[in-house]
Amino acid sequence: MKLWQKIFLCSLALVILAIDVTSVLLLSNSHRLTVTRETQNAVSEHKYLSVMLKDNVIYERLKQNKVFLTEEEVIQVTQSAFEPQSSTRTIGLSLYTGQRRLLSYNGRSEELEVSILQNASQSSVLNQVQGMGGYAYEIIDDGDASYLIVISQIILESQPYYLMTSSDVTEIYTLYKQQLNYILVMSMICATVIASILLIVVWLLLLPLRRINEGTRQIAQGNYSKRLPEKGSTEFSQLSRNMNEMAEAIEHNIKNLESVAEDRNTFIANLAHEMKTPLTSILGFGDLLRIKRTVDDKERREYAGIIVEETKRLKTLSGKLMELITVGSTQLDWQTIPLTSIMEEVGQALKISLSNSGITLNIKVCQIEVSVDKELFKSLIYNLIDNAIKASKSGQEIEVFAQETNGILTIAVKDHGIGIPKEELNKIMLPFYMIDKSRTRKAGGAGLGLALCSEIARLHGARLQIESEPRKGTCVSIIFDKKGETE
Amino acid sequence: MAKILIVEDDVNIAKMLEVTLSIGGYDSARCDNGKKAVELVTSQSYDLVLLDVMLPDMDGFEVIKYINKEETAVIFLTALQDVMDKVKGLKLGAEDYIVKPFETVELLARIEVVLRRKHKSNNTIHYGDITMNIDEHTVKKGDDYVNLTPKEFDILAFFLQNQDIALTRERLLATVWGYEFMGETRTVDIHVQQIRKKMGLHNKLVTIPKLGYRLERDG
Repeated sequence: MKLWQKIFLCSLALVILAIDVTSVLLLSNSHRLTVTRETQNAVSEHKYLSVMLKDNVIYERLKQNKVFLTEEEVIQVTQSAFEPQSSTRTIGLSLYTGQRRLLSYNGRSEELEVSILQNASQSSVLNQVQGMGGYAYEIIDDGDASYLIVISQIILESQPYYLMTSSDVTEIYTLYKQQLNYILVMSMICATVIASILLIVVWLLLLPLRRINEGTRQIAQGNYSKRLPEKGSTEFSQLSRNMNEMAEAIEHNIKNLESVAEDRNTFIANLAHEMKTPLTSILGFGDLLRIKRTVDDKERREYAGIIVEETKRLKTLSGKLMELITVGSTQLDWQTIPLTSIMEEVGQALKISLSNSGITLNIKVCQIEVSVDKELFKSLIYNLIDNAIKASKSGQEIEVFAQETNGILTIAVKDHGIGIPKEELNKIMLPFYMIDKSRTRKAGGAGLGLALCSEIARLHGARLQIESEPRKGTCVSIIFDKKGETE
Repeated sequence: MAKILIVEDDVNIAKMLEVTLSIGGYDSARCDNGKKAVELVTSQSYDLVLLDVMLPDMDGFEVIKYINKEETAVIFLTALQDVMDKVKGLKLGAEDYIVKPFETVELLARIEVVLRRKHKSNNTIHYGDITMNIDEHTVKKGDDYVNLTPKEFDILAFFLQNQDIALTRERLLATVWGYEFMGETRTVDIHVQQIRKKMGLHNKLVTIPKLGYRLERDG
């Protein structure tokens, strides 16, 4: 069952129950009051009758100057006392001695009255107050009519008699039934009206929920840029806001994942290209050497030369690739060593390469100790200087300097070589990115150097910053944002 | 002689393609970037373009749009093995798509197929007194028709199309029987012997030890 149906049905049931219970309670209360009042009337009339009867009997005895009046005389007195009034009276009267009916103006059968009398005489009220003016009353339903019957015991001439009066209360009960029917009809009409109002109210109140539902479904189906309107009552707008936050987080994560996946795809595509290009030459020329009928000496040397050259390229690539993969997964061996000693070792390793290309290396490093993985960090500096050598011409100078300002350590390698075009700057750290493929390959590069450098820098909690201007030179800086947090 | 343009930025691969095409008996021209390739295909007429997908300035998918596919067939050369790329290449109107690295003879065979489809290749091959009509599937020695089984015919055709090139048994199997055929190389030997006998090629169709066979160039 849907929520709006539940809310609707529950409220409807409660409202109808409340209306019905209240009106029935009110009605029965007023009915009870009416009955009580009617009973009091009947009882007082009964008392009046019984007093009058007693008086008449005494009066009759005195008049006839007897000691006792017989039963027949009592009946006569009663008849004469009651008869003149019976036409105007609304009540009937019966007189019993024991269980024998002496006279009746009730118009009811004797058996019925006797059974009522028996009931009444059994009731403690009548017995307890025997002879003390006690009375019992009962409401009987005689077919279409209802009667209020009052019974009391009176002592006439030392004999106990039962006096029974009855008054017609049919009207009260008919009214009660009519009102009950009226309530039934009214509550049905009310229910219909309330139901329709309730339906509209519930529908309107739950409208934002439906909107949220629809929006959420769209988000779930992959429309992560969808946002829900933050309106409606507080709860709904809060829900919308939370949903929106969730969608935003999802969108953000998905974008991250997508970009990671894209980076990886690019990496794999580039890797495939970089591996397959030398392989194509190797396979092609190897195949040519094998299947060509005549291969002269010059051709053979050329083909073999290319095969060797391309194999070396593959070797470089696989070496760098292994380095790049292992750098990310190796445990760093942290050491605190003076920066100058690292620089000296790197300078030593590059000595031959420097003298061959006629480039001078100028190291201006302050006395500072750094906490690094020595081998990796050496490899980082080595790669940066090696790049600088490749970019420089004979006779130029490469500067390496380090300085610490405000706790931020910066190590920079600066050359005055060919520089990097501005539009390439943000791409050069990507794996396999080469600005000039043929030049890079001639220099024996695989396009992984800077990717490796930035990975090493990242592991040391540092970042690479490259500033360059074509034909003026490049400056690559390793920036430790907060020294001491590198470990 | 069919004229083929090589568009490849790697010098060594371009060189290798040039040599391969020359032993296949094709005329070739080289160019190493997309812009120049567009210039060449719009100004000159080529029968076929071997087009590398990854080029430094504009990629092969871009270059192919400038090529008149009615006149010039295109074969993509690429390092990417992605099916989507292959579909993309073929949708753009390429005739074939070769994934690097590849064997020399495979490249020649594919070029042959593409050129034949484009009717740029000879249907009739003459070799000494042998005349082979590939479309009619007939072989004549002198004036007499020779009865060859379909496989023998295919092998002979492959030899005639790749004269002076050593063909390995594996290559013959792959080309004539298809890659999925897992037969023995011995099957090739039997067929080659039959061809030698039927066509009288005992001296021309020579066995190269440990490699395969070669049909010496006519004359």
